[in-house]
Formats: sequence, C-alpha cells, structure tokens
Amino acid sequence: MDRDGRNAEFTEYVAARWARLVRSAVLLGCTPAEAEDIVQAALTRCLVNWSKVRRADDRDAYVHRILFNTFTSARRRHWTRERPVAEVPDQQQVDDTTAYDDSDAIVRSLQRLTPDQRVAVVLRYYAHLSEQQMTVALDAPAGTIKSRLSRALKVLADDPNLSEFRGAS
Amino acid sequence: MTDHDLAHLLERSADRTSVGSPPVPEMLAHADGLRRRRTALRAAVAATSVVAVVGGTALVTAPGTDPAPSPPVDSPAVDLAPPGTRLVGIGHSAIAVPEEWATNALRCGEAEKPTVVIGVTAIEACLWLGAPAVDNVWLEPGLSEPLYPAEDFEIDGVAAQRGPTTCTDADTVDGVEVPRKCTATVYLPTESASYRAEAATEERVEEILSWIRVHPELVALPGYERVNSNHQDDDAGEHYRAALEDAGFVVETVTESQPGGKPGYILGVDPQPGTMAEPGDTVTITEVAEPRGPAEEVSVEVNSVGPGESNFHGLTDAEVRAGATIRIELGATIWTYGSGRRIGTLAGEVSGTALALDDWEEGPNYGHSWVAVERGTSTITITITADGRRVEIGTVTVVVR
Repeated sequence: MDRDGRNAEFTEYVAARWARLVRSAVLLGCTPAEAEDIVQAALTRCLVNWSKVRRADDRDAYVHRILFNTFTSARRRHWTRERPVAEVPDQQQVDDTTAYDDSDAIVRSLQRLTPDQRVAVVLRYYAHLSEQQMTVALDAPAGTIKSRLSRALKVLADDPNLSEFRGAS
Repeated sequence: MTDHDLAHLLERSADRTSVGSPPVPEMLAHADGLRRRRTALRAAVAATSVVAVVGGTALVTAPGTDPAPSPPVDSPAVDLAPPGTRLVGIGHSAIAVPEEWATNALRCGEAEKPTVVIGVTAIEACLWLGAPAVDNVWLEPGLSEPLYPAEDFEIDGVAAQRGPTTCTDADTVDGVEVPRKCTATVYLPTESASYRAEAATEERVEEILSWIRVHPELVALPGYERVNSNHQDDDAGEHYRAALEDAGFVVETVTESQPGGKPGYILGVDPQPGTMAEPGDTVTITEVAEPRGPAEEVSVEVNSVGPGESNFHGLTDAEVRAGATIRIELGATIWTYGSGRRIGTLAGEVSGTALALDDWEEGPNYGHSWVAVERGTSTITITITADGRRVEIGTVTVVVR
C-alpha cells in the first residue's frame, strides 16, 4: 500500500474512533487535554507501524494495546515527575479532573478501583472490547481479565455512590 | 447493577467530555518524521546484528573482542542527546556520552579506551596493571556497593545520590607504571540505576557524571545475561520478554538455531540494551531455536595437535557441519568432542588408512581420537545416536602431510 492509501485509511480510522478513544482515556483518569495528547501519541505510533496494524488480527485490539502502553508510560512519567521539591513551582498545573469528577458519581467510583481493574472496566464497558480483544490489548490471559472484571464489578456494586443506579435498568 | 447499567453510566459520563476534531495532519507529519528515523535505525541495526549474535558467545574464546557494538546513534533518543553525544541508560535515566566513545571496550575488566560499559556480566579473570587512565562510565542496575558518605541531590527533579570521589595514587608495581585514577558513583533509586565514572582527575569524573539526565518520555532497553556467562535461567527468554514488556516495549521474537544451545536462551536484542527508546516501540529478541532434529542437540568440534605439542588446528561446529578439510602433519593427533544432551553417544567413523584409532584408553577422547599414521587422505564422519538411530553431524576430510 502506498503512502497516500495508508494515510487515507488511517484518516478514516481516526475519524471513526477519535472521540471514543479520547473519552476512554478520560475515563482512565486523564484530563481531557492529557487524553487528547495521549491518543494523538498512540495513534501516531500506530500510523508509523500501520502495515502491522492492518495485518493485526484485530485492529481495535492492537490500537488499544498501543493506547494502553502510551497511557501507562505517561502515568509513569507523571509519577517520576512527582518528587518532593524544595520550592513549589509558581505555576501549578490545573487539575480540572477534580472539579469534573466531583459532579460525576461514576468517575468517583472508578477511582475506587485498582488501575488494572479500572482499565479492564473501561475497555470492556466503554470501548466495548470483547474479552478476547482485551487479552491482546492488555497482554494478559483471559482468566486474569475475567477476574479483574469480576472484582471490579463487585467493588462498583458495593459502592454507595452508585446505589441509586443499582437495579435500575 | 447490570452490565448494561454500567455501560450506560460510562457512556453518559464520557459524553460530557467535549472532544475536538482529531489533529490528523499533525499525526501524519509526525509519523513521517518518526518513520524516516526508524528506517535509518533499521539500516544501522542490520549492519551490527550479526556482530551482536557472535558477540553472545565470543567473550570466552576471544578476549578483547567488543561483546556489544555501539547502539545505533540514529534513534528517537537522538533528538534528546546533545550534539556529538549518544544516550545510554537504565530505566528513564541516561548518560550522554561522546559519540566517539566505544561500548564495553574492556580488557581484564579495565577500560582500554574511552568507553561506556553496560550489560557486562562476565569479566576475564586476568590482571592488567598498566591499564591506562581513560574516561569511562559503567552502568549497572541497582547499586553494587553502598555509597558512603552519600550526598543527596536531584537530576531533572528526580532524587539521586552521589558517593565521594576517590583517587588511587600513581605507582610502579613490578616495574609497571600504574596511573592515577579517580572514580565516583551516582545512583538514582527510582530508576535503580548506578553510574560509576572513572577518569584521570577528580574534575573529569565530575564532568562525566554531569552528563546524566532523566528522560521521562524515553526508556532504556533493559539488559540480559549473556549466554557465555552461563547464568541464563531456564526461562530466560520468557523472563526477558516480560522485562521488556514491563518497560513498555512491544516484543518480537525471532529464533536462530544454535547447535547444542538451550532453546529459549537469549542470543541478542535489537536495538542494544541501554539504547533509549520510546515505550510502544518494537524490539526484537533473538532466542536459541528448538532443535530441528537430534543433530542440533549437540555442538561438536574437531581439533588437532602435533606432532608434539605444537601445530594446533581446530574446526568449529559450523565448519564440521559444512564438511571442512583439515591438513595435519604425520604423527599428529586429531580428535572430536562436544557438548549437548546426547553428546555421550558421540562417535567418529573413519574411512581411509591415513588415520588409526588412538589407543590411549585413559585419554579424555578415547573412541573418538585418532593418530595420523600414514600420508594421504581420510575422512571422519561424526555421529551421535538418538533413540537407537545413527545421526550424522558432519564429515571432515583429513589430509595428512
């Protein structure tokens, strides 16, 4: 496939998935701006290896795998940066997730999950990946994914924040 | 709460995030740039990969060879390395060493020329008193000796510790001039990385250590135990893959047959350990392949010496399998031996009258050792026995002069 064909295919893919990928990253705990950056970085990596993405048995699973890796490494960077410093920098980063989360019971509940459980819930119930796709995206065995999901659902079911939704369907 | 409720709640919550349009032109332009760099990287790597695999087994037999060629300089990290330097690191930390510095240029554990040292797990057991005082820095995971007294400081906002600079006095030992050398270590606990710099003066040690940086967006390829150090565990490949994936890399595995080698042992990784790369990048590890048959379960050699203790000639496993010819003198001894699972069944069948079985029954190679008794040509067909079947490894032509 030539460059133009590849770029056209990529553009089409991005148009279809961009918003959901960004929102997935927000549900994982990113600020909206951070989410767009991460998805942009992940998709750029996918484009560099587009021939591999095309060949992948499951394109969405592969893209989510790259997204998940990018997200994890961004989190690690955040963690590395968060060292105690003698002087507090003048310009504080505005954490707009807090204000946003406070108005949102489900996001508060997601924060009660372990990072692994949270990723599993978002990929399964928001990105709508199948368990098979999740084994690729998270590079974990199906059994591990199942147990993360079932533990996460248990935590959410016991969460008083979500009590009003319990049983409502 | 049902699955459906949860999906619905997530959907509603996510919908509150307004998402702009995707920056497709930026992604296309950025990807083109990355791809150009990667093509250059691949070309550099293709040229060094053969050396890397040979290096995996070369340290024991050929001291002084460079066991790890320099990492390719044209990598994503190139943007972050100051001009004229390349980054070599552990975790997110890296040191920008001058491009002309070698990698692992060691003799008896001492630097032969300015070099960065990384991933060296076996050092020749020899002493080199007169080693010159040349700039070098050793990178090691963890901290081999506690730093005392340790001074706390920060590198790019990350906690670091530094030990004192110590110097040895210039001296003359057994008529050999031993130069003055100074050394100091910096340790970054969050990266579990230590950097030990050595140079002729305290000032130069200071300068070398000032080249360490933390690059949160990059991560160094972790190292692995080399095959020749015999420390690889039975699941070496599996464990190394996990370490690379933990570091954020996508791992591709290729295998290479290595007679007598243990399947799954790691022969090499591309790019080299210590290379700074972006998480999500693909790295390729080369493992020892499953043997394609019993013949690959052993590694053999043919050697000859004599007459007397001189005139040593040797054939490697590959040469034996390729059907090499060896020329020896009348009166010389020639023998085959090897290693691997079925090596106890090693045998040699001789045709021609130039060779006769060496009848020294106490000899280490009795049964597969011969003496050149007549000028002319003989062949030795080397075999093992697998499940009752005779398996040929190779045939060597022996010309007795």
